[in-house]
Amino acid sequence: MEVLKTINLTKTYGTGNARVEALKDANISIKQGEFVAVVGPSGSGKSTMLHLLGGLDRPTSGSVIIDGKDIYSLSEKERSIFRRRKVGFVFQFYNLIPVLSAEENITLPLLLDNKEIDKAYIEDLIGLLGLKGRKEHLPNELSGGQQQRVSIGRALAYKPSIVFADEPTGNLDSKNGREVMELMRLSVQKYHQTLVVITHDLDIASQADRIIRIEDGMIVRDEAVRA
Amino acid sequence: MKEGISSNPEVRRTVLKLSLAMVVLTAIMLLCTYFFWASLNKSMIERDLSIIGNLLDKHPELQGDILPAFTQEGSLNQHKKGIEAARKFGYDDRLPVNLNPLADQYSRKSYRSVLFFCLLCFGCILGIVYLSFKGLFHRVRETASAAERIVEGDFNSILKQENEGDFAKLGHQFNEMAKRLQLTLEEVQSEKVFLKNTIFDISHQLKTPLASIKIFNELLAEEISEGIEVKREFVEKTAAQVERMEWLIKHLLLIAKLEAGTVEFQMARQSLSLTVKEVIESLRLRWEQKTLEVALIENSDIIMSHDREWIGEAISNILKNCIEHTGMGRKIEIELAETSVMTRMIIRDQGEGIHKEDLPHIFKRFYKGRNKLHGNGTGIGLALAKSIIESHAGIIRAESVLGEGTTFIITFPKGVI
Repeated sequence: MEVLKTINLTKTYGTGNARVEALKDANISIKQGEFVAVVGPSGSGKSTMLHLLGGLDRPTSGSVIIDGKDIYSLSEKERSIFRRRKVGFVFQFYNLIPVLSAEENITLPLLLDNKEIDKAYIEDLIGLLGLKGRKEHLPNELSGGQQQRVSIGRALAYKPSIVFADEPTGNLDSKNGREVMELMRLSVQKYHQTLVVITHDLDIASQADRIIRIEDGMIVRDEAVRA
Repeated sequence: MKEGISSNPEVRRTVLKLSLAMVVLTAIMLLCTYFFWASLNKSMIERDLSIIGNLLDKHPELQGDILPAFTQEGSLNQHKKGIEAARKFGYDDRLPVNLNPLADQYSRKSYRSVLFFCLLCFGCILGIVYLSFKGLFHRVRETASAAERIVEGDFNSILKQENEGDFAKLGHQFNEMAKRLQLTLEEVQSEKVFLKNTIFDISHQLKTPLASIKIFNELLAEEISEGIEVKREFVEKTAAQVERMEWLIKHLLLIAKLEAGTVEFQMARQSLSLTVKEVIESLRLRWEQKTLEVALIENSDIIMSHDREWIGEAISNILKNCIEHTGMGRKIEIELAETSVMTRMIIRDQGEGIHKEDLPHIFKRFYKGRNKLHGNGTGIGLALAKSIIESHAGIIRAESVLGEGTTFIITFPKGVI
């Protein structure tokens, strides 16, 4: 089942001589449960694409369809609610709220939506992420790897359709990075989610079901490496 | 975290409409009251003026007394006199409203406007309540017809969900439910196809050894006079085929049990290293035959909650695969490591490797890659290993370089098992 599709997705910055085509006519389709790695040199348009897929930016032309809905046909406010309920983000620099505990950071998207918290699910998630003994800790009392695990929890709290991760291991050493990747894989497998990861780490990309390679804003390769 | 219904846009809109209506109605009410009193005031002055005119006409000499009588307040004594004088003409404070022309006129006016105002209020409230109920029930009907379409198998009906409030949340959960249904349905469909293929594969797998056994038996029966050596050879060959069938059936049953979820794992916190060591020992004959070295690398004894028999079965299948595909005199390593959140097992061989195009499929049942030279594989072992590991909440993946070897990486999360 297809969860995400793009149609001629294009993003350009500037005009005239300063015009830069960050992404040109990208057409991709991602199936439910897939783990897709997006690779390419820096400045190739990976992050632009991820931001467009997740509704964080606005394309110059083309559309992004998530669960049958063209997300850029929505108003700004509707899109922000859509993001809160449908997609999870994991960033390189965690972006946790420093005055909230690990557990509060994880449940934040639910609190924002005044949604009743599925306690069993959150407990399960915290257990899977190895944060049982760290629930009450503030972000600055946690290591980098633990902080990133909290942000994975936050991304999964609303049981989103898709989790987008932008260089999730970019700020971690290789041991912690591998752990974070494996946890992301485990959790998306466990909760039937779809994972799109931007990385320039080929070791991480090799774990994916599918690798999309971008160069100069164009998709130059899109192949399944695993079933 | 429970909250009131005030964050719902429908509630907010209704409250806003009601408040606006109240503001407008109050303004109308105030204006009406103002004009009513202005008009009454005017009528009273005009009546007084007529009386003054009437009196002056008859008694022009009283001009100095009449006018002050209207503008100044009289004494208590004068008041009494007035009452007595007027009573003779039937005019006192018990006079009914309808006999007092001015009061009669204005009371009618005020009854009319109060009635009109009440009707206006009623109409406004009725209209607003009707409109908001209409909106609410429209959404309920939308949900009902979307549910109906889903029952009919059309999963493209999506409810609006990008908004605050309970209806949007209902829409969101409804869409999620529809999605899960669609996914399950698709899974059932592909399961059906898979089952068909599996039955075909199994019968195929069983047919070959069965045919061999049949031939050997026929030969034995025909060539009854042959020497004992030939007979023994046939019997041994038959036994090998029977063993192959037995293995296949046993493992198929294991997979079936696992996937049906009828297996009750005997979970216990115990040494994973010991489990691995037992497997290595049980396969000693196989790897010694090929003069392989099997090494267990571990920093410390790793304790993990698992079912020893089943995990042993999984490791055994992977190890058998490695032994089969690794050349004489080479080495197989099993590495155990743990972090605070997960336990990892890495099984590394120096075998022929797996072709890039086969790698995505090696854990599928009955998958046989381009390496068909080795007739022993049934394509069951790795599929079984994967099922067992996943039912322990773990994941398995393989990496391989042709000619250099294959690495199986198994990860178990600590928090959930």
